[in-house]
Amino acid sequence: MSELLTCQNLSKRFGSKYALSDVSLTLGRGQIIGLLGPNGSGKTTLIKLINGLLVPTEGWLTVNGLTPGVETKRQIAYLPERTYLNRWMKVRDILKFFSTFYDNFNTGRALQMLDDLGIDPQESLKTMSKGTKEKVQLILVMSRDVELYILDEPIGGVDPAARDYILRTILSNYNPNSSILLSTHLIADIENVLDDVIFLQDGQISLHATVDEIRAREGKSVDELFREVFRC
Amino acid sequence: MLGKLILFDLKASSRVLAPLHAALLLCTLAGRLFLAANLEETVPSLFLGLIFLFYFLLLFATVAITALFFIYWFYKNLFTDEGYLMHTLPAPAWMHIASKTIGMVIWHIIDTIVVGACMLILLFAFSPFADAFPALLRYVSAYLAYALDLQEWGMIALSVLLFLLSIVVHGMSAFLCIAVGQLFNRHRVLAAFIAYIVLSVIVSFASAFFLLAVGYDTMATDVYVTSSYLSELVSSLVLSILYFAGTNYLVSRKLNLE
Repeated sequence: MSELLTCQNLSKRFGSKYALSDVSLTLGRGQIIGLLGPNGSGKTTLIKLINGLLVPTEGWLTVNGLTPGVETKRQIAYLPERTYLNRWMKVRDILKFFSTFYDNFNTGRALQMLDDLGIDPQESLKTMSKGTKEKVQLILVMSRDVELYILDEPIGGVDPAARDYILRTILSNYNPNSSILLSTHLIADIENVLDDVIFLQDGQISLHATVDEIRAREGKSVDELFREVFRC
Repeated sequence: MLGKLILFDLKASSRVLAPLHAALLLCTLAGRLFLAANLEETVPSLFLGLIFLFYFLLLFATVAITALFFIYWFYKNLFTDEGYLMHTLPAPAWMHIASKTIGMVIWHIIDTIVVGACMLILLFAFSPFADAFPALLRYVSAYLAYALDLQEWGMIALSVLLFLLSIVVHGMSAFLCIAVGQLFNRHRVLAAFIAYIVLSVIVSFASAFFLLAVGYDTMATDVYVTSSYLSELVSSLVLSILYFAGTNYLVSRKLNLE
């Protein structure tokens, strides 16, 4: 099976409200895909479904031909928008945790990235700023050798200098057979690294195209198109 | 993977529970030395009272925190932001539940041993108790063995099994209620408390109904000990399985992280 991710008529309902409605989608390998949409458009719901944190109400999805479960969790590196680190741990403890639970975690790469960003592995997570914790989480995720990286708002809380480093890190660390699904509001910052773009609106896909197609067809950047489509 | 999860849970719980139990043991040993030195006649009674108060508060806190720690940890580690990390590990939901249950049982065993040892350390300071203790122990186990018509070792094994099952069934009922509480978008802890009350009422009614249905007579003292042990064993087993299955269903199919 060549598709990395397939969603077919995927819906998720909370109570009487559909957070995601009839989404059909395929993602190939070796791509960086921007998942874009305003707050409440269903981005995080879609991401949670792919990660097996939610179960679809209707439809189905597969990752590498497998329904979400233990094996797909091994193959996906997920950065949630929440800070999930245990406060009592030191950085070296969380590195140990990742290397214990994920056989595809590369500790050497993580230590190198921590060094580049000036983060001491002996530092306690409790005393870290929110931005530094976000950097640590991103380093943990990007230090895994997986087929699908899912990054939910990876650069929202960090300063522009670190943002550049993180984007370079994302680009330089992922395997050409892997794909990155990236959700963010900061479109202008990431536009140049994206291959594909998915616009989500009210739980449905309103656009799925390559960045080149958008530029050629619309004559504008993804950021400009986003502001136009989702104007309040 | 289950072993790794258990080690992680034990490490996390030991941060809190190990120093607490170590402090209790140290205070008990200090108290034993204090009693042996017969200082109570020279120390003001107010001071003595404060020492006893502090000691029993520490004892109570150790037992209470041990009883509640894994319920809190189950909620915090699986249903707050940390849940995003735990539920994306390559482990099925049942392993998370089993790991926390096993961790809870291990700490309850340690707690029982430490608290029991502390009591004995203090009681043995009084010579009448120390002299009578072996006979007392034999009498209690011989009586229960006679009542159950079992060999002494069988009696001990059954008691240990019941003790372990009672920990599991209480812990798992709390786990189930937390898993019910997380279904709500707001006031999750309150919802878990309400679920606990509702569950307690349902289980009380169901067990009363069951006892009536089988014609159980609590006044029949000759079979009382045997039947209460066995009915406790069966009901704990059945409830543990039901609670585990319910929690597993909710965590694997109805997870609702904020």
